[in-house]
Amino acid sequence: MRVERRELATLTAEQQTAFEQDSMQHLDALYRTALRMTRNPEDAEDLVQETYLRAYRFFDKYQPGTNLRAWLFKILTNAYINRYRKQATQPRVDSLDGTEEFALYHQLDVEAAAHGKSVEAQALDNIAEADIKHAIEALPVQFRMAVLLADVEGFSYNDIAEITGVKKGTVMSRLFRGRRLLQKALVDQARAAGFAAGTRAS
Amino acid sequence: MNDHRRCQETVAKLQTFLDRELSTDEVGVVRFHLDNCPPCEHLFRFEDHLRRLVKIRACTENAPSSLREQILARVRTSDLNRLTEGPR
Repeated sequence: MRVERRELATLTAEQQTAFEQDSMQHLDALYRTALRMTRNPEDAEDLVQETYLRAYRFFDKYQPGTNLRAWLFKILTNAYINRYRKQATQPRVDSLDGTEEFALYHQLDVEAAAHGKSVEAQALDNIAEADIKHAIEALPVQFRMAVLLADVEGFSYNDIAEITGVKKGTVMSRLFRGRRLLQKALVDQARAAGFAAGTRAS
Repeated sequence: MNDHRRCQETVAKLQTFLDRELSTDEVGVVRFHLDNCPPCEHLFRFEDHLRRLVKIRACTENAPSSLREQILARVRTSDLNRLTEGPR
């Protein structure tokens, strides 16, 4: 028991410095992900603190030179799932019927065409930041995590598979469905923002 | 544009293309089609823009500086925690 304790408690000074310097670089990224997942700043701070304490505790298990960022996100994901197990393991049943690919684009395209206009990607910029945030936060947990890891953090399919503990094919389908749901949610916002309503001349 | 099937094949690869998960050869095939098919190019550009919007507009918050300090403080004093919590 004594030996185990000592092993656990020992990080070399070098490791301690490495932990503080290297892992703290990812604080903002972990925080913004935590914020979209928990939907409020206090819970996000708690989750990120827990992530770092766990990372510190297991830092001797981290292999230098491997992807520290992915390793931290994996710890964050596990911590989130442990805390919010109920939401995380109850995927909401969504009525996606497979015909809704590129929902936003097609919806807006049809409306714009009725006004003799075409959809301009830049017009998306009219959607308020808060509305995009709400649309993301409304996504079911597993889809939300996949979309954040891919679109915001830029992780590869393989990294996301490792971080979330599922197969690559599952990552791809979660991303696909998550993005479609996000588009569905944004259709109304885009319309409310005056986009595709024919305000754009020439 | 001229070949509806080419459009279908291209659109089927939209996600993996934008996620940069296609091989160089596959990217070449998609690019060639997009260069010759304005409607597909338009759709791809729209989707790409939407992703960037999620990235640059919807996740912009930085961690409060107090959080950084709290974490470092807890980590620096946590040898005690590690002892009391034991392995795992």
